[in-house]
Amino acid sequence: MKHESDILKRIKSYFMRRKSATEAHRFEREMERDPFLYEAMEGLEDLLTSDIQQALDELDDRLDERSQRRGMVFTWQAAAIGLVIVAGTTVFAILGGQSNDPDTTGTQGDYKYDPRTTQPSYEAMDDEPAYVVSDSVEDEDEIEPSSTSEVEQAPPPVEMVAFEPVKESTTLGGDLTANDPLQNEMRSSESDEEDVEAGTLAHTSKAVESIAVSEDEVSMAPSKSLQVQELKSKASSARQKSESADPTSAPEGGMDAYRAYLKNNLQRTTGMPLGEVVLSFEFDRNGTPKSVKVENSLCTACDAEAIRLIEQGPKWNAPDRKERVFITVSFDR
Amino acid sequence: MRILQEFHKPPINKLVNTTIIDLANAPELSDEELYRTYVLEKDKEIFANLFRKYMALVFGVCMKYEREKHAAQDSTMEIFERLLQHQPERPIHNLKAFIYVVSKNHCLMKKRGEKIITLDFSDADMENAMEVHPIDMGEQEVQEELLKKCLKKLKDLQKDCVHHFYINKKSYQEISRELKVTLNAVKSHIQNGKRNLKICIENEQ
Repeated sequence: MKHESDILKRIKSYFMRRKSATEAHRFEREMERDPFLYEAMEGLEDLLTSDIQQALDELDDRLDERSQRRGMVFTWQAAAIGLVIVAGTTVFAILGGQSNDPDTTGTQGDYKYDPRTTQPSYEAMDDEPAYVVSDSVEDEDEIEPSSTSEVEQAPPPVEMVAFEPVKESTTLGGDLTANDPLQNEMRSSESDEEDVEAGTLAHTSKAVESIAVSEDEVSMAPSKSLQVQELKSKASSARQKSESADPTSAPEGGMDAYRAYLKNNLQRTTGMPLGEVVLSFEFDRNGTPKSVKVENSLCTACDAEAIRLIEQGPKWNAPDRKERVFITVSFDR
Repeated sequence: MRILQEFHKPPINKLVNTTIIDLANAPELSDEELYRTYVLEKDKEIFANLFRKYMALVFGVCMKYEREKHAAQDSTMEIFERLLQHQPERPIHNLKAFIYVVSKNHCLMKKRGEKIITLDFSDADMENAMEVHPIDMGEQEVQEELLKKCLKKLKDLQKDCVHHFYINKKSYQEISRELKVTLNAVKSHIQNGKRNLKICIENEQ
């Protein structure tokens, strides 16, 4: 983050002797008139202008963090409460499922269980690559892969919830190729989750987590896990989202242009393996990506190259700067 | 304490009525108006952006007293925090002066190892801190004569430096080259010269 202010510009230009003698004199007159400026100049004259700039850049970032911290704490608290609730219901649901008592589990599942919406998703999944994912989920949650399982056995609530993200990822992935992660991501962020109440989202986040784990195990296409992570991040900030109208971040010039940028500016060096690096990041005030994190590493050099691409790349329109955006950089060919 | 709060209620209500907070339609708000908006809305980002405008100066003042970059950065953040926690009891008429007084006070107290008790500086404190020397003010005829008279009474180098700076409109550097003294000497001669001038003017009046 580059700090800019009117006064800094003038201080720098004075120090760098860009001004003529008369202009310098005018600035000095102002110093004599303004004790704040005078004392500041006394302090700054020992530093190089580059040091001043750097020190202020760092301060700018600290200021950013500080003026947003309360929001962050709130998010963490919300996430923590959500997690506790999820953990509680999961344990309860598992216990209920094992006791095999259709009456109790049935009543619990009732408020969310709607076979009309969940069943089609199962059918859609059958001819999708995501089928593998659903398989591994079922291993964990003890569901049969057939759609009749719901009728045969009254499902515990968590299983029901687990369908939601699966449905979403499959319907989204339906018309997309696996090599199209960016568009994938955009779709998923467009998909509307805001109307769902926070509690439901908390459930979803847990379910999504379990999918993410199983996906890593079977090493599915990273594009899927990307989407899943996106959902996860959405769920974790559910309450904030429900308040703001459209918190979706998008790069300047649109996603297609951004994808083209990533493709055209990727510098492959010899020895780089094929694959993908998944990165997540936030934004500073200007929409420049900051605090870039490697979510899914490929190799040290690849990670560094991916980070370089993101950091030096186009700016973003980010209405919610604390929203972490996930991007996959593919190293193919 | 309660009495105090009650006492300060009316002016705050008045503020709500007088300031129409519509940042989108009124981007040309003065810093003081923005500060009032921040006090009312408790929007940290408004204040952070205000503080940014003066941050270079605050950091400079901290550098002067700390003499070390990282310590000065920490002090700058501490000052920001203090200002953020501060609940002004009276409206701020001059935000720049306010930030200056708070910054300088913070640095001095920190240097002396004392605890900073209050941020409630009176307008007089701020006026004192931002006091403008007669020679730096606009041209007023009476003072002009007085100034010239007192200028003559100054010691050699002080007189030369002040004369070159204010009458001949030369920069520090030009004066330093001309009089063959260091830049810092020029500055301190001007400062001391101004102080003596002021004493002289006050005695004459």
